[in-house]
Parts: sequence; C-alpha cells; structure tokens
Amino acid sequence: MGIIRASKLGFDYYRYDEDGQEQEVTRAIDHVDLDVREGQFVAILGHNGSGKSTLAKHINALLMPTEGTLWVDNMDTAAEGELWRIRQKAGMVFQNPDNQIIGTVVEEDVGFGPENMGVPTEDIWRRVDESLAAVGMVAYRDHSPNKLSGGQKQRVAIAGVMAMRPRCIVLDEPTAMLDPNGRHEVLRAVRELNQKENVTVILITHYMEEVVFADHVYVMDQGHIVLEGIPREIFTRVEELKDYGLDVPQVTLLAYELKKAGLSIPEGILTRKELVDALCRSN
Amino acid sequence: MSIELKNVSYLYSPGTAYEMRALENINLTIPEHQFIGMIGHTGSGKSTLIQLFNGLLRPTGGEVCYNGENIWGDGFSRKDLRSQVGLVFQYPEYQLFEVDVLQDVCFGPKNQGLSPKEAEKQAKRALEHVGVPEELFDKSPFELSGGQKKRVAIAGVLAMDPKILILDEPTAGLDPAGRDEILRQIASLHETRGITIVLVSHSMEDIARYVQRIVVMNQGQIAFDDIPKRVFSHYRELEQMGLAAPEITYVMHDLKSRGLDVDVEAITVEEAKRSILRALKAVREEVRT
Repeated sequence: MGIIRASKLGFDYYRYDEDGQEQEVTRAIDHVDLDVREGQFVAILGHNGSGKSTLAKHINALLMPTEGTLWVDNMDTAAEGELWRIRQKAGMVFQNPDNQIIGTVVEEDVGFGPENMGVPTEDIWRRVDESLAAVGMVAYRDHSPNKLSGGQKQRVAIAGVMAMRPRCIVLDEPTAMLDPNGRHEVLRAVRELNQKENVTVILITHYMEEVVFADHVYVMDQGHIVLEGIPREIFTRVEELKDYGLDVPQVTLLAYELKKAGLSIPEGILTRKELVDALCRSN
Repeated sequence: MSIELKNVSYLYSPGTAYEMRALENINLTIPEHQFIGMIGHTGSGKSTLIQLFNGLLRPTGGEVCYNGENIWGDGFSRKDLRSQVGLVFQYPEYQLFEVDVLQDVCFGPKNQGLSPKEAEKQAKRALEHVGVPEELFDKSPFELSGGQKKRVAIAGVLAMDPKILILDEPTAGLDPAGRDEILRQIASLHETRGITIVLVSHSMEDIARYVQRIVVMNQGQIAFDDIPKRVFSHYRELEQMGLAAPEITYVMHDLKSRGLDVDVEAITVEEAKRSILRALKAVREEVRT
C-alpha cells in the first residue's frame, strides 16, 4: 500500500458572479489514479494549467476532492479530524521562498512548525538542528532569512517542513525562481532527504533535467495523467512530450537527433556520460 | 539609440551602516539593434544594472548616457527616456492592474499623450505581436493563465513603442512550450521591429539559442562581455561564479577529451549535432583509407 494513493480523483474549480451564482465550472483534475510508495522519488510534469498544482494541493489537504478519494498514509483527506495529522505527514514547499518564510532568524523559522504542533522545547531545538543539517544550512542558523540567496531560502523552507518530521514532501516548482547554483543546491538537498532519510518526494517541475533521477514520472495534460513510467521510458517519447507542451533534457534531445540522423545510439539516453559513451563506442 | 555606461558604480544606502556596493566601475555600451543576454547569479548586480538603463536608479558614480547625453544632466527628460527604454520586470504579471486586457495595454501609450484611438491602435498591434488573441481583449487580466499574463505585461511595455526593451527573466515559471513561444516572439520583435533587446535569464540554454552577445555579471562587475561561444568557453570560470555553460558544451568537451575531434564551441543541440556527425564521418573515412 502506497503512502499516497488516489483513486478516480476529480476536482472542479467554481467561479461565481457578483450575486454568488455559479458562473463557470472548470475541471482541473479528472479521474486521476496515483500510487506512490514510501521512499519513492516521484516527479510530476505537465504544462501550465495541466492540473499539477491542483493535484499537489490535494496531497496535504489544502484542497478536498470533488470526486474520488485521496489517502495519505491510509487517511482519507476528506475525513473530518485528520487534517493536522495529514499535513504533518505530507509537507509542502512552494515556488516562491519569500512567501513561506516567516521567522526573523533562520532557526526560529525552522522551529515554527514543530512549535505550532506543541512539541516540547528541547525537542524543537533538536529537530531544528537535524533539519538544518539535512539541508546543509547549519552555518546560517542565526542569520536573517532575507539576506540569504534564493537557493538558501528555499533550503530553509525545506528544513522548516522537515522539522515537522513529515514522511512525504511535496515540492511545487521549488527551483523556478532560482539561478543555476540555487537549483543545484535545492535539488541536492531534496535527493539527500530522499536517500538518507527515506522521505518520499513528489517534485513538480518544468526543468526536465531535474526529473532524470526520479524513480517514477507522471505526465499530466488537461487534468489527466497521460503518461507514466521511469524517466528512461518517458523521455524516449520525444514527439509525444512536445505535443504535451513539454521538452526532454538537452542531452536526450541531442541523442534523439543523432539517432534520427542515422547513428546507432541506444534509446532513452539521459545523462551526459551515457551519450558520450555511446558515441565513443559507435566509432 | 544607444545606452552607454561610463565608470558607473552604485551604492545602496551610501554613508550609512548598511552601505552596500552593488556595482563597481561598469563600462558598457548597448548599441542599436542588438540582442543581448545578461547572466549572473542572484545578487550579482543584474537588476541594479538594468534599473540604471532607464533612470529608475541614479548612479552614485560615473555617467549613464542615452545617445551621448547624460540622462541625469540638466534638462534631460527621463520621462521620455522611459518610454524609449522599456523595462519588463520579473513576474510581469504583477504589473497588471486594469479592468480588461486592452485597457491595461492602453495605459502606457495613453500616458504618453496619445489619443484614446491611437493608444488603442498601438495596444492592439502590441497584443498581436506577442500572440494574445482578440477574444481575450475584454477579459480581466487576472483571469488569464501565467503565460498569457506575461504576454499582456510585455505588450503593455511594447505598446509604448520602445527602442530598447529590457526583460528580467520573462519566462520564469513557464512550461517549456510557453517559454519557447515567448522567446520566439521576443526574437521576432528584434528581427521585425529592430528593437534592441536585453534579456536577463538564468537559463543558459535559452541564452545560447537566441542572443548575439552575453554580458556576465559577477560581484557587481562585468566578468565577460562577448559573443556566446567565447563566453561559454570560460565554463570553468562561470562555474566559479555560480553559473554554468549549456549542457551541450559539456558534452562536446567530454567528447573531445575522449579523442573525437568535435567543435567544443558548439552551444546548441543543432550545432552539436552537425559537429558530431561531421567528426564521426571523418573518423570513418580515415578508417577506410
């Protein structure tokens, strides 16, 4: 049984006119089935408006399904009374780090979550220490968050979620606002949490390079999951992905173009090393 | 229509305990009709620099000249300057405020003193140029998708008919298709209208594909200012600055070090493909003879 499961999940956004009458209904996700096992690193791809963020918001019960069910660690998110336990199990990190940092000092910001949960003080400090260590930000614990770089801020935000000891962390385009260095920092931190702490990761992104290391990829289009599989399978479908408004990593695209030009290269090249090895072997 | 910066420096909060040097000794010329990319890590001084271009910030040292005239000199109209040098900020959707799309885009040209009819003509032309369809003209800008909002915001600046258009990360948060489309439209503004473009971006791949020249900012100074190939050949130094070359450049260097005679200056998939095919063909012919 997966830690995150969805069955025939559907969600409608309603728009009301000035008199409170229903004006328009938009189906944002439709018939989504999902099964994420504990400890997996899962990526969700899809163009703007494909339903990724709506799906993500269901995982920590910010949105309740219009149809179907979503379970977090066997708790139905629509059930009354489980809300706080669900949010503690599945933490969420958003795109803009400035919108999620509230403390004036890094360590206070990270301690905010457990403090709110009523964790005893000494425990809070221990969790703050561990979470900052997990994202490599111990050296900045008494800094002011607004003097940090984007990548550092985002790592503080992740530490803040980690301090609540979630078993799953959902990241909604966490690197969209960062420079290349910041992107690497955040991704490295997330991968380490996944590998060392066995935290389940659900990463939503527009950067195809970030998906290469995922265990499983879901591709969404118009509220549906249209493709799923391991990255190597997904990225062999170059034309299909383009139809969905997506891309493949540049290395994969180059391999694909070279193959089309007649070179014998295996399918599903994902990394620089694979491409270079394949090319050096072929001559 | 050129912007020239001579020995420009900029201090935030000069003379206070919070004094911070954002730019130091910048010499830079932006000539007509160029498509320039600007890269640099967060805090490298890019945003400060572009705000000097249209006089939103006043340099604490040196001169900023537009067509040879100091923009902070007596009698220089910075209001006119701002309609000739258009600035689209990061997250342009925050610049939207009117009741519908067309009104929003009309705001700039109306402010320039055009008649409502003229302003509307300009606005429609700008919207058309960035690919906003007519059926969206009377929608509220806040009902649009992220990509459409960005387009409307760019149109708002474009409607003022600027000679120079500066865009700070116009594609952040867009999906690949939306990103390509906006970049293509920006490139077409450069080609068809001859507008000078300064594109600030964190995506080396996008920069490699579109621009003619790259300015690299690092710690408040210009680290490199050259054509893309030559800038990306300094990939080791770029990494030290928290940047990188396009992934393709690394592939080419790896191939070269493994003995394949490819062009290490290739920076796009298309260039790399040609170079690799050529190199492999040469190897095969050598084997045959």
